[in-house]
Amino acid sequence: MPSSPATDQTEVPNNSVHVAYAIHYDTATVVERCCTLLGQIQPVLLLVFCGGKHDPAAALAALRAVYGATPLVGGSAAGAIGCGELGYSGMELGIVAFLASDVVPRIHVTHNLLAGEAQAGEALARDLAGQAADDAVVLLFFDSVASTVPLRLHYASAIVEGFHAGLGGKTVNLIGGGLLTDLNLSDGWVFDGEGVSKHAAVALVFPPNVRAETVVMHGCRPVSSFMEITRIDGAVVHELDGEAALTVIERMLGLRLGSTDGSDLSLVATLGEKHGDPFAPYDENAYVNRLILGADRASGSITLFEPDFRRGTRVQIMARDNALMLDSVRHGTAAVRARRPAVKPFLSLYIDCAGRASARSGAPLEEAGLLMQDLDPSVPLLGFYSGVEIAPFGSYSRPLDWTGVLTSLTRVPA
Amino acid sequence: MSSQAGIGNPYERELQYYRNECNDLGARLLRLQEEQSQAFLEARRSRTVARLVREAYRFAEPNQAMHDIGGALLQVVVETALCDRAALLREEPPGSGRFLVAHAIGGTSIEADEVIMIPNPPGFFFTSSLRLDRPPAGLLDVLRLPFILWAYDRSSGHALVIGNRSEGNVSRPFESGDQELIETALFVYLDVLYRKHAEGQLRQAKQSAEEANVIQARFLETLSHRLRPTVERIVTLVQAMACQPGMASGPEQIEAATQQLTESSHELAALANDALRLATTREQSLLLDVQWIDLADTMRRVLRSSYLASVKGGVELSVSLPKRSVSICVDRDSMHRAIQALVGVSLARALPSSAVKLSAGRRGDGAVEILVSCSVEGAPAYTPGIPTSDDADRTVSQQAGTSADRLAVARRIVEAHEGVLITESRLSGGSQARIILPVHMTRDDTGFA
Repeated sequence: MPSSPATDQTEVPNNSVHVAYAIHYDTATVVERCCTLLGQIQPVLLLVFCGGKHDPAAALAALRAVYGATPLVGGSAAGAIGCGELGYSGMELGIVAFLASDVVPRIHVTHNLLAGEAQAGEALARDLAGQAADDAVVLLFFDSVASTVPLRLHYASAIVEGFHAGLGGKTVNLIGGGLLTDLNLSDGWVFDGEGVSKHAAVALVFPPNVRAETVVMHGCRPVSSFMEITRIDGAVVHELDGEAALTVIERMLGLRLGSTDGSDLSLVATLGEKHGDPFAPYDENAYVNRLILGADRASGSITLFEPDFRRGTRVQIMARDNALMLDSVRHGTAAVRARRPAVKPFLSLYIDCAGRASARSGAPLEEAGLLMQDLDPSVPLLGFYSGVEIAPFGSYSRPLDWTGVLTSLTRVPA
Repeated sequence: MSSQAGIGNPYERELQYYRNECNDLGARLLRLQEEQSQAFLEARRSRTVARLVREAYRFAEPNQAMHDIGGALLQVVVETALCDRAALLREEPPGSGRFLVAHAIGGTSIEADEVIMIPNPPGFFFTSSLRLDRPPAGLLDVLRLPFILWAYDRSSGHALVIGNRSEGNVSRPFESGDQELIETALFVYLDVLYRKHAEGQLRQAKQSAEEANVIQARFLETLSHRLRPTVERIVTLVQAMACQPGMASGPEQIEAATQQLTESSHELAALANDALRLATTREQSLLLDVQWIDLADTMRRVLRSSYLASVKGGVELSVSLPKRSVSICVDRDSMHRAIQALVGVSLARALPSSAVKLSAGRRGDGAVEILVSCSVEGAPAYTPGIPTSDDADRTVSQQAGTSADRLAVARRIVEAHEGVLITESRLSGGSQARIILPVHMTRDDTGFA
C-alpha cells in the first residue's frame, strides 16, 4: 500500500517538475493530451519518452509548437509508465517538465556512438567532467540499436567504460538506459536537446543540490553451478568449460534456445556473474546478468547483450523468475518507502527493462503497475521501457539486464 | 553431465554428485518457470479477443465521433495484439479489388488515402515462415511487412490487416487460430460503424419529422391568413345580397359581385391546389432510376442551370470539383434537382456581391459530402421556424416555392438515396447545406477530375 505522508518529511509543494502520460495513435493528439495534463506551465527543460510508432519529427514539431525553443531531451521508448498507467504498444508519450531552474540538469551530447561507443562515452565524460560536481547525479540516455540487419547494439558497457575513463577520477552517480522503439529491438532514437538523432548519447548533469537514491529490482535466480568462460570474443561467448557454449546451455537446461531462428532474443535464461564471495548466500544485488541476444547454431556460440564478460569470468545460468521479479519490486518499493529522506523526492524515474513487461515475460502482473501501486502517489513518477539499464553497482555504475532501476531525485536543502 | 565415475577422491565424487543434482534441479526449475510463463502468455492471447471486443464496443458510445472510430479501433488492435503496423482499408467500389487505406498505424510508409490494388482479396489470410504458399497479389503491399494477418468482408468492402517485421521475440508467428482475432476486430468495427450510421439516421429522421411539423404548421397558418379574408369577402357579399335583394339589379353591380365571387373562387381554388400539391409532394414516393454518374458532371450541370439566377441576383456562384474523380449511385435528375434546390435557396437569400459555392469531397469515414455554402445572406436560409411577417404577407402560391419547400424536396430526394441532408445557419450570416451520401452509394474512379 502507498505510504501515508511522512510526518518527519518536509512537505514542499512540487513546483520542481510536472509529469504527464498519454496514449493515442495520433502524434498530435497524444502531445496535446500530455500538454493538457502538464497544465499552463513554462518549462525550463522537457524530458520526453516517445513510443516508437510515433514519428519523432512530428512529435518534436508538436511539442515545439506548444513549448517553443524549450530544450527537449529523451527519445524513443518501447513503452512508458506514469500517472498510474503504463503501455508498450509504441503509442505512448511520457513527459517530465522541469520547472524550477535549481534542479534543471545541464545537457551534454555526443553523436559519435557509431564510430566507437567507448571513445564516444569517454569524450562525453571529458566534456562534462569540468562542470559536474563531485558525486553529481548524471542521467545517461542513448539509442540502443546500432544496426538492424544484422542486429547490432550500441553496447552500454563500452559507453559506460569509456565514460568512467573520461571522468578522470571524478565520481558521479550515473544512472541511465538504452532507448528502443519497441519490444523487438527494431530501432531507437534520441532527442538530443535540439533535434532527433541516431547513434547519440545524451548526459544530463544535475546541479549539486540534487541527490539521487537508486533501488535496483531484479528477477533472476541461479539454476546452475559455476562455469568458466573459456573462449569469448566481445559479446560472443564461444565456450563454457571448454565446450561449445550453446551445447552446454541447451544440454543443461534440456531446452532449445530461441523459438524460430537463431536471431531470437532468448529470455529463457541469462548468464549471471556473481560479485563478491561466490559462496555467500543468494543475493540478487550481487549479480550482473546478461540477456542472450541470439544463438549461432553453426558455431555453437551465443551472443550476449553486452560484451563485458571476459575469458575466465565464472558465470551461472540464471532463470528468469517472474515471482521473484514481482517480489523484488515489492521489496524495492518497501525499501524506498522505509528510507524516508528528510525532504520528499521531487521526481521518481523508473527505467524498466522491456523484457519485464508482462507480454514479454509472461508475468501474471505488470511489475511496473505493482511499483506504481506501492509508491507514494504524491511523488511524480515517470518511467520508460528500456533496452538496458545503467545503475550504481558497488562504487561503480554498470549496465544491467532484466532489471528495473528506480531512482528518486531529491533537492537537498541549502 | 557425465557421472565422472573415474574420480577416485570421495569428496570430489560427492562434490560432483551435488553439482549434478544442483544442475538438474535448476534445469527443472527453469523449465517449470518457462512453462508457467508460456501458459500465462497463451492465456493472455486467449483473452485478447475478449479484451478487444470489450474495448472496441466502447466506441459505440454516443460521444464517439464516427470518423474517429477507425483510428481508435486500430489503436485497440495494436495495443492488444502488440503488432508493428495495422491498417483499415475500404474497397471502392465494393468488388473492384481497389482498396483505399482509411486508417493506418505504425509507420511513415503507410499513407492514409493511399490506393492499393488487390485483385483477389481473400476473406482471411496470414503469412508465416512456416507457410509456403504465396500470398495473393497486392496483399503484402499494404503494410510492406513480411508477416501479416488479414481479414476482408466482401459485402461491405472493408478489410483489416495487421503485420510484424519479424516472428521473433514478442511477435509470435501468425497462425490459422488468429482468424478469430482479426475477424472479430473487423466485424466489431463494422458493427460499431453500422450502429453509428443507424444512430445518425434516427437522429435525421427525428429532425425531419420535427421540420415537417414546423412546415406543416407554417403552411396551415399561412393558409388560414389567406383563407379568412377570401371567405369573409364571400360571406359579406352573400349577406349583402340577402339583406338588399334589389342591390344587384343593375348590370354594374351584378358584374362587380360576379367579379368578386370569381376572384374569391379562384383564390380558394389556388389555395386548394397548393394544399394538394404540398400534400402530394410529401406523400408521393419517389421513383428512382439509379445509376453510377460522375459527381463532377452533376455539379457542372447545376452550375449551368443556376448561372442565370446568380447573375440576376448579382451573386458570385462558383464550383469546386472533387480532387479525385468520384461517381455516385443516384437518380440523375432527382439528385440534380436536390442540389439545384439547395443552390437555389442560397441564391435566393444571398445578398448582392456575396458568394455561393458548391463543392464536394470525400470525408474521413468514406462518405461523399456535397456542400453548398453561402458567404453572406440577407436572412438565414436554413432556419425552420415561425414565418416572418414577410412570409405572412405572401400568397400561399409564393410560399410553396420558397426555401422551406425546396429544402423539403431536396431532403426527400437525398433521404431516398440513403443520404443525409444537414443544414446550418450561422448567426454571423452565411449558411451551408451538406448532402452526405453513404460509402456504398459512392466510388472512386481512376484518374483525377
